[in-house]
Amino acid sequence: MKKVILILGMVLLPIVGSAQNYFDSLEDQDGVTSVIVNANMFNLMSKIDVSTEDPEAEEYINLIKNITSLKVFVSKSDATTTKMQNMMSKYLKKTNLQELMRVKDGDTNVKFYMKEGSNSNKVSELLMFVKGTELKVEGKNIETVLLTLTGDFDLKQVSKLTQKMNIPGGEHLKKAKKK
Amino acid sequence: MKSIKIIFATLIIGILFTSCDSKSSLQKYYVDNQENQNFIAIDIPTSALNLDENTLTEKQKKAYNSIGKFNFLGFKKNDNNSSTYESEKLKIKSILADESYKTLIKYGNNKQGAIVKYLGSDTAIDEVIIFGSDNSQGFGIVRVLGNDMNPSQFLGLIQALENSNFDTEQLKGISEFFKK
Repeated sequence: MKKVILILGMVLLPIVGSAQNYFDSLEDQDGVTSVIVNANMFNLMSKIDVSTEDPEAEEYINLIKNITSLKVFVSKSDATTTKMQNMMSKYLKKTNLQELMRVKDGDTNVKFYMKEGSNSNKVSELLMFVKGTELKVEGKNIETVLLTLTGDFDLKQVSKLTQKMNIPGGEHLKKAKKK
Repeated sequence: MKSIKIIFATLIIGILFTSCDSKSSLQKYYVDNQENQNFIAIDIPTSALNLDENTLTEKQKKAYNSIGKFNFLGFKKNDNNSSTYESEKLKIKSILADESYKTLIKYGNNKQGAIVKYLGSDTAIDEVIIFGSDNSQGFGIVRVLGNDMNPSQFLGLIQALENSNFDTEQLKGISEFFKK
C-alpha cells in the first residue's frame, strides 16, 4: 500500500509542480517583459544577516522566508493582453483560486485571487491581475500586469512589500482582508 | 564479480568526467573567446574595490576575503556580426542551462535580457554569474569568483563598500567598449 502511495506521489508531483510553471511560456512571448525571482533567491536572501534592531527589515526577512517564487509579467500590446487574460482564466478554473478582491479605479481594473495556506491567516498563492490604459511604471505606459506570488505567507506583510516595490495595483492590496 | 567492479569503475569515471566538464565549460568559453576581436575580457581584482581592510569588522573581512576576483567578458554587436551575436548568445545560454547553475533572477523582454545564477550551495557560493544582453548593443557576462562565499556576510560587505572609494577606472574599459 505504501508503495502505491509513493508511486502515485511520484506521478502526481510533476503535475502539481507544473501548475507553478504555467505562466512560464509568457517569458518567450513577444511584447512581454518578465521578472522572475526563484526560490533559490528567496532562500539566499533569507540567510542574510540583518540586525534585529531594524524591525522593518526583520519583517521583510520573515516574509521572504515564506515565499518560494515571484513572477511578474508586463505587457504593452493588446494581443498579448488578450493572451494573458485567456491564460489566467484557464488557470483560475484549473487551480480553484478564490477571488479575494476586485477594484475598479477609473480606467484601471485590479483583481486579486488567492489560495489558502497552512492556516486561515496564511496564503499559499496570490495572483494579481491589473489591466488599464493609464497605468504607469517609471513614466512608461503599460497595459497589463500579471503577478503571482507563491509560498505560505501573511497577506498583510505582502501589501507592505508591494507598496515598497512600486508595483501598480499594490496599493489596493492593503485594503484586502481575508474573510 | 569482476564485471561488477568494471561497471562501477566506468560509472565513477563517467561521473567524474561529466562533473569536470560541466564546471569548466563557462571557463572554457572565456578562454576560447578572450582573444577574439568581437570580445573584450577584463579581470578585476578585489583590490579595485579599494577597501581598507583595517576598517572592516571580522565578518566583513571574511566576506571580502572569500571573493577572488571579478571577471568580465563582453561582446560588442555591430552591423557585421549580428549572426555571430545570436549564435554566441545561444552558446552561453546552453552552457548556463546546466543544472549546476542555480537560477536566482530572470528578467527579459523582446530586446533585453538578464539572468543571475550561482554555483555552489546556499551557504557556500563558489561563483555568481550575471549574464545580460541587449539586442542593439551586445551582451556581457560578469562572473564573481570566490571560495565559499557566504550570503549572510554580504550585507555587511555592501555596507562597507558604500564607504569605500571604489576604483571606477577599472570599469571605464567596459563602458568604453560598448560606446565605440
